Amino acid sequence: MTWDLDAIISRLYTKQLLPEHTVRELCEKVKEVLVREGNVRNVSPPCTLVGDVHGQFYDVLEIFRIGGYCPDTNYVFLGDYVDRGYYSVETITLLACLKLRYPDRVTLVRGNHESRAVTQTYGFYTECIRKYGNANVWSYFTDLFDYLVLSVVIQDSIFCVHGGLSPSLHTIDQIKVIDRFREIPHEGPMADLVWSDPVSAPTFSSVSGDDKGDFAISPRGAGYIFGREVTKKFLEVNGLGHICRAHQLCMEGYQILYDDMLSTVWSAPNYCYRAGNMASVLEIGPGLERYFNVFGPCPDQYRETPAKETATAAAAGAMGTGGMGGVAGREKGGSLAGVLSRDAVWEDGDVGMGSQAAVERRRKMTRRVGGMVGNGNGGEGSGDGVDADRVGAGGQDSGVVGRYFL
Amino acid sequence: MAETPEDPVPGILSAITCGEVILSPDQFATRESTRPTVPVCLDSELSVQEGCAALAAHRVSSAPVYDEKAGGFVGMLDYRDLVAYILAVLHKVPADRISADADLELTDIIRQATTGPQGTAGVPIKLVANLSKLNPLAHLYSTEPVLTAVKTFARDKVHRLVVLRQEGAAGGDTFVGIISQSTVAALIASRLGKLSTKPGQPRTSWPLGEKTLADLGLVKGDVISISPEDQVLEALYLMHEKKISSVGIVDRSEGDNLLLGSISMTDIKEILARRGGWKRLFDSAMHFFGDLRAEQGLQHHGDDRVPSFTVHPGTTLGSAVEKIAATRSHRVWVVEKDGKVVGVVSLSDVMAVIAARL
Repeated sequence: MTWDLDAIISRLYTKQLLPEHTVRELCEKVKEVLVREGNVRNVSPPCTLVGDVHGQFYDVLEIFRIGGYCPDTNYVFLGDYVDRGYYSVETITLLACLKLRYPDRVTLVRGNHESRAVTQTYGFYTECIRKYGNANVWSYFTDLFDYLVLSVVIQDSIFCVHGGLSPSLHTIDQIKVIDRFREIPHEGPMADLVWSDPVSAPTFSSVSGDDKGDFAISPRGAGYIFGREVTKKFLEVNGLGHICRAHQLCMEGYQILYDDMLSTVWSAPNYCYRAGNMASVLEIGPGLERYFNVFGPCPDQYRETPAKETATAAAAGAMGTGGMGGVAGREKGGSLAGVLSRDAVWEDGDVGMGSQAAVERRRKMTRRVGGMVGNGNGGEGSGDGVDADRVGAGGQDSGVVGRYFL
Repeated sequence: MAETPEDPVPGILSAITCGEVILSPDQFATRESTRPTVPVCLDSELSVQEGCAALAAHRVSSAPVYDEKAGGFVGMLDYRDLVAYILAVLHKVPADRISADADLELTDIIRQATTGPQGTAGVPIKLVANLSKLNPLAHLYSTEPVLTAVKTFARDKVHRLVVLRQEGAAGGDTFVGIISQSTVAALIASRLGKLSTKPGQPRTSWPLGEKTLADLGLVKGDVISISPEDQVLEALYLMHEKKISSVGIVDRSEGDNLLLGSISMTDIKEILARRGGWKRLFDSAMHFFGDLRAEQGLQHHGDDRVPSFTVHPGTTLGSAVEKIAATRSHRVWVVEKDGKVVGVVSLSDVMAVIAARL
């Protein structure tokens, strides 16, 4: 059987499910690609880092609309592709196919949700049973997860991982020797990389001669929480300038800590369809410039939900395959009145979501943050929040407010 | 400083009083999870639903019940009581198992429950408090050392004690708060834990804390469990029957005894604190557990937790206590490297081990 990957990918952009046997073959082929990749994958800029997406398929399409489609943009996904959202299966299937089609332009890092135990609890397992009638697809994907890389280094400068640091890992070389081809253990360095979190509380001040003084047991039940000193030491020992990770919800879509030594990127807007948060992707330029491109959720009328789907299934008829991320009904014009939330400020010109004008307007609305790696003027997040003038909602760029869906 | 093999725990527990430990800063507080700053007690006329909502809102597992007419505390409302109540109403607990003097109240409850507007809404908690007979209103005074509390936990097999302040000859006692096994675990972790002690604080060695759970005989080989498809009600019944606080959800279908999750006494608040919560009793355990974890993740600002808090048989007692304190849980599950569940270590087990050496 010939594999027309482009045709398959076109179908996946319209949210169609692949047959079970195709998923099995897909996972086998992607494993063959991943097995050759080391635990620490080297990536050259320019590239775009994507944080947690958690099965929010329509918002993944938003990411491609604002960040560029594969292979025009190089992507590094930092994990947590599944669980919680309605479309974990469609999301992971699409990303796996993109990895297979463009292996040098797509990097898939493992998150804490890429695990059998976690997916049985947080939704992916249930979704597979519901959509395929059995657990085979779940087991194909969870076997695939065992092959995902653990971290990325961009041009010897930016270290990227899903969760954070480990008291057992002081150097990049130590990460390279981990045996990653297994279920995430309950504890140890591999668990720490996907579960740890930074804190900005003053508890963790420098302790002379005691490395562990800056790690504490995580309330999540796995991994650790770590502080500024540990971060600084890790960067110095390994000759790096910045750590970028995901794993924690950021209301503004991103957060910068420790005088720009570490940042969090979060890419699931309106998380679980109720948190009301913004999302972002981190665009890294050829000279390692960092730019948090902030965006909100895909507007409701372009988004299907399971309830809406059953209602419109009969009416809609066959869905078009609309190559570039087309969604049924999207190309139709029509007024936005009454569909969006009271805060929306979309204009009629935005109807064609992929239109150049809309993309341009969106780019103007977002903010430039950070700067050259190692340049300290990136601004610091104070505790939980981000500086007032950086907040995505309000301020001069009030157009961004329109993306909140509460 | 000379290292002695002496156990530092008795000294720590003697040097701080119950009143002081309740009021000391909560080191393991997170944004979403802190000890209540105001001691919670409940009016006896609150309905079961209101009482449960109050427990959940204040994030406490139990609270003393105050009856105005009687002019004093008449008992503790605890999740165990609520479980006993549910099981009684659903006739899962045979009548002869309920102690004799509760018979009258029980028939009252059932009558009111079946004729009340929403089922449970009309039943005042004064009839439910102490129904399990497992949480009598034991109390200590705020001036007593925490050591006394630990001995009481172990001897009387209770999880928490009311702390009262004596007001002198004339007045009654004031309710100061609750001292629980969790309070003691947090205290020990913050003073003796390898990672929990603040930098700069001298770290004392704790020989008992270095012993492994296996060495201390705390790993029994298996746990009381239900299967993923069993109903939540089944879990409650097992907990009531065996007088335990939690059951594992274990997949035994292929002989590898994998721990998928657990249902514990405190989860009952999810059932009783909201309208229509009754229906969840008939959910499959795994479905209920998944929804619970998903909701908890959102309550913790999106920070999802591991499905089960686990340790190995070779984990030290000190590490286990630190993990229990950091996760604000009541137990850790003991699993082998392949995921097979071989035991559970609860705060009660920890208190017993410590009390035995006081």
